[in-house]
Amino acid sequence: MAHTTTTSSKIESPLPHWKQESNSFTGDELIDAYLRGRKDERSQNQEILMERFNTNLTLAASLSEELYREAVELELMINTVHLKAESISKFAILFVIAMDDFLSENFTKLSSKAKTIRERSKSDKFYTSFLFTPLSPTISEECITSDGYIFKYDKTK
Amino acid sequence: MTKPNDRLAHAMHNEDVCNHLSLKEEFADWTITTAFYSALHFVSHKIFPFKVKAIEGKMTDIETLDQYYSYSKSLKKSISKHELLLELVGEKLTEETYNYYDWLYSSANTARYHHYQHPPEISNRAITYMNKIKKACS
Repeated sequence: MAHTTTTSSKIESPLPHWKQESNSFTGDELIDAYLRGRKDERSQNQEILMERFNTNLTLAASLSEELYREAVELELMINTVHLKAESISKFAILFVIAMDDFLSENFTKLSSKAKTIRERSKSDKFYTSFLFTPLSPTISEECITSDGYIFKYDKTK
Repeated sequence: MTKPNDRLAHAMHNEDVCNHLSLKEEFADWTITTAFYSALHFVSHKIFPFKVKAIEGKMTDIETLDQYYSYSKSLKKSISKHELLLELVGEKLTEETYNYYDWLYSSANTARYHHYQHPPEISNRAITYMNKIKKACS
């Protein structure tokens, strides 16, 4: 009798409060190896770069969570937060925000806070940008994920 | 070399396109995009030229975003030109102008996540912010 084996597509996220899309590839060999926890032969240089990526990814997540808390303080309804690693030192964070809030006066305050966080955290080894988009009936999470936003904040954790 | 009048003319050209597209609700995605690209040239007209310290320590003129991008890369910055311009808006223009520009930048960059369909509230706001930026940069 033939046996078939199936490989679980569940991938454990390296970030405690974020889910990672299971079929996610960034196109960056080192980052993809990191995300899959591959420990096959790595040079010392690759280990250093992986460590740097881990530090930066954790920082990007932390800054996202900080801005999320600021948004809650401003009574803005954040639907989802998505995180993308563009390189080992550059990240993008996307906030999906309720339409009315996206058009509100309080949103400009969130934009200012995002700028402050970005300017405070940037260095020649780390940069994160913040983007905002309104929640709409036509929004596509599939499109967002395929654009490289492979981490999604789990607000329940 | 981009002349100041070219930047302003380019901004107003994009503004004309934006106003034309806004006449049809089904073109809301392009209204948002052209509002952003109009604002981009209005802020560029206001920001450039400015002086920076060159690597040798002397002051040098930065006339265009491309020049500033090359200069920044030499300082180990590796962000996109759009992000660099957003930073410049934050540094050199008012907080209010920055917030309008940031909103337009976000809206234009994420338009594709909505299957290019947007309610009129968003495209109308885009036009409002474009006009506010134009006024601030005149």
